[in-house]
Amino acid sequence: MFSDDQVAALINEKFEPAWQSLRPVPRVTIDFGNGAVVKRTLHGNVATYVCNSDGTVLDILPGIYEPKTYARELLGLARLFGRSKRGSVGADAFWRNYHRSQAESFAAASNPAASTPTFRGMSIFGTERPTRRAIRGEQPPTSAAGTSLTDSLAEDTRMNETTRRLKIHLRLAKSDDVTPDAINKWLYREVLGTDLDDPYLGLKEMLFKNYPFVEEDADD
Amino acid sequence: MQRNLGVLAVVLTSAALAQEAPAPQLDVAKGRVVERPTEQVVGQLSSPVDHAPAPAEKAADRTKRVMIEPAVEKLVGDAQPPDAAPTEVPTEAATNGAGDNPHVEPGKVQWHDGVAAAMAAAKKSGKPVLVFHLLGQLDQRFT
Repeated sequence: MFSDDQVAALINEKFEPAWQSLRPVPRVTIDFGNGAVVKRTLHGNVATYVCNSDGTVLDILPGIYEPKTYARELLGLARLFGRSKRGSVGADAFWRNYHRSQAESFAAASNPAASTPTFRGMSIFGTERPTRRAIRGEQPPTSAAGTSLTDSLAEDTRMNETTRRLKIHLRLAKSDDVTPDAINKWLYREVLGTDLDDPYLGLKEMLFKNYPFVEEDADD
Repeated sequence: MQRNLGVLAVVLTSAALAQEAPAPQLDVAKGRVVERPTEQVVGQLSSPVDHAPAPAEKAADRTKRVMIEPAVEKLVGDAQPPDAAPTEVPTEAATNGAGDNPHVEPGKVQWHDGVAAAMAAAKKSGKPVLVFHLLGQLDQRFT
């Protein structure tokens, strides 16, 4: 996203940006034994917080986005930020009202049953999806052309802007003075499907459930 | 009973095939010309033992061998796909101290050096702060 000219220009003009690592990213290395080695990352979830200068969270864009949608949403939030400072109501009330109205319109516009995430809301970089599918034993899409990176990104973006964003609006509509550090465990666990307190990030059961050498490996 | 029927089917099929023309000699020639060199290439890579040289009668096939084998050699020798990570772990110097996770540019955004710096800048500029959270490092290849 940040290599996109439009996205980078928008962020540089409208925001004061910083990035923060929550923990090292899990990596998968497959050594085929014949010189071929494939390295991929796993569970590379991301989140974009828009905050005021005190660090209070105003809104969150969960997961990875298509650059065009990401830029549109960020621009909208930058404009809202300007309106919140000029409005007659206080900024806190302005953002609570915003989240409440967004949650209502999201709920009205979406059909939760139809948009239930196939992968429990996980959002990872598109290149990782095949690895994740393989590990979870899931079949790839059945389209003749297969799923391209663009398709995966579009799917993640759609998920972000439906079920994931709705959960965030519902949460922020009831909260004041939330900082990224105070909400990130909830966000990753409840919205992105990644438990940051779990050393296996919630993948332990899937990794070991049918693995016959768990006890032997534990002795090593 | 089923087994007997199966044997009968095999016998009938074999008999039917026996009545057809014998396999063309060209298939045998193809096996010698194409497949044997492939086996030799693989064998030479997996074992230091010298293999017997090809019979002298293959001299006439030399041109075809040269045209076919480089691709096989490349396939076996360069088993790593073009877009895969390097097989050998780069040195610390080569990866700017990041082990086997090389440093990369974190996009075209002009990032502040931490959230506190961004908040301090926001107090002056009046802009909102954008905090991007991730697992891993944005300025490393594997994030």
